Amino acid sequence: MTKNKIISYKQTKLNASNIKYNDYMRTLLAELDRLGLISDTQLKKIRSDIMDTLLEIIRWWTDDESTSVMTDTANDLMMNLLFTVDAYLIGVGNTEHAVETMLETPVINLYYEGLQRLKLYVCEATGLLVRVKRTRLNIPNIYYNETIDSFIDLLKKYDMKFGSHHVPGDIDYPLAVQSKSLRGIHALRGYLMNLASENGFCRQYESEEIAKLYALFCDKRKYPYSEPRVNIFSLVFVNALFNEYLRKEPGTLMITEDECEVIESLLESVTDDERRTILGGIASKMIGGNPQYNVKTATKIMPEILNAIKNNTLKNYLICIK
Amino acid sequence: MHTLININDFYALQSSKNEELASEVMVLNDISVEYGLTLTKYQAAELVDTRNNALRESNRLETELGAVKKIIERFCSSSYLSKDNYGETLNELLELFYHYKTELRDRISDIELIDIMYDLFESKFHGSIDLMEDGIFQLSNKLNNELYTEDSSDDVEQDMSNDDDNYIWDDYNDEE
Repeated sequence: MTKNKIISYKQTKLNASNIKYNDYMRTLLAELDRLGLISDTQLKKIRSDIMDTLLEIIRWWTDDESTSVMTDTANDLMMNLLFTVDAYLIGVGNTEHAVETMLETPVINLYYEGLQRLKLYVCEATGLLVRVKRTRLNIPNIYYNETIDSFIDLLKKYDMKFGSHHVPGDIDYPLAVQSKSLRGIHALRGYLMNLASENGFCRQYESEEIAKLYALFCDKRKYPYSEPRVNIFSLVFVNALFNEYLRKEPGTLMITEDECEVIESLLESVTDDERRTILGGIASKMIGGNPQYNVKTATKIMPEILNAIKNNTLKNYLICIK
Repeated sequence: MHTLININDFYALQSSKNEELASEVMVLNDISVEYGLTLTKYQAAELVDTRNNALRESNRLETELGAVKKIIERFCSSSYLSKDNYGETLNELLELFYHYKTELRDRISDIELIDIMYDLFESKFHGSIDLMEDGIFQLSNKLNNELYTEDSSDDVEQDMSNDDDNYIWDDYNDEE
């Protein structure tokens, strides 16, 4: 890359909304191309370089048993290659640095660097799993416990060489906020980060208090204690939110039916927007876990809460005692 | 897939290398000349075209000139090939090869498939490409059905531990 080009792209603002982290290299190249900041020769070289690297990966994949593969396989290996390169480019710091690195480094080297980065992410995910296990809630939910117990198998099965963009299996336990756009190790790491945050939030309450809340939920809906495919953090969070609203003693999760009526009458006279502001404000100040994740959770469940208040069904929505 | 980089780049890249590939084919004359068989430059270029088209039609992508090389190496000793039919037969064999690699969903290696093709061509159908094609078609159906049944069974792991190599040859020998 010439110095002039570097200066010109630094002076020209790349449109961040055109650059997608889940398809980083290609969207970055497209943005440079759109702004005329990459020459045809440079683009052609990168495309040819990508194809050469893909051919090398196909050779490894076929293990010299075959010199050709089906296009679907080649496409999948291409996605694998781009995912791995993206893992490196995203990690170099910022977009400017990523552009320089992408234009100055052979794709095969970007791929090798990406593999190193993926290894680090797997290590990091293993560390997160340890944290999740250490903060595991004492709840007999089969989805929750089996997901935690079998997560190590997902990390072991994760194929960074040929399937880095895939998650090698299903994750049964639902989180309060699910990320659908993450793939590969990012999805695994993201899941564990959020589960660690959920556990972290719940752990500020007494284990017995959470167990009691969970048992009440199961009893109310006639579920066997092991079976509901429900996010435990959401149950805890929403009760905690209304306890905060009532300014009850910290650490309290239980809400009585009478208190539910008080909440409904207090929030009856205000509009949905005001309810959203009041409850959202409380959620943003809640401590424990990851505050950003707590806010996301509140935003996600807010329509259900507003609906319950509007229809006077908060008693059914929250887990209440008589 | 984003249009800037996609798998079609590969085909474009391949087309730009046609001359280079044709030269590589010409080098293979060094092997076949021992049997009195050689390709002209025109025939070599034609074989490269056939390869590129067959790859596209069979939804395949190839890393090198592997199949052409392996087919020439295996078939040049055939008693049914002569100067007159060498070029044309290679084109037909190549088309069949890629077609059945995809039909068999890459479950057998290049060499295994070429060995089956050679044996059918040489021993069973005496140099008839048409008959050989019928033979591979039947074998491929049988193999796919059996593998499908295995995949669907409860005991997949045990079934898949069969040696595919022997498996294919057992089928072939049964038919004989």
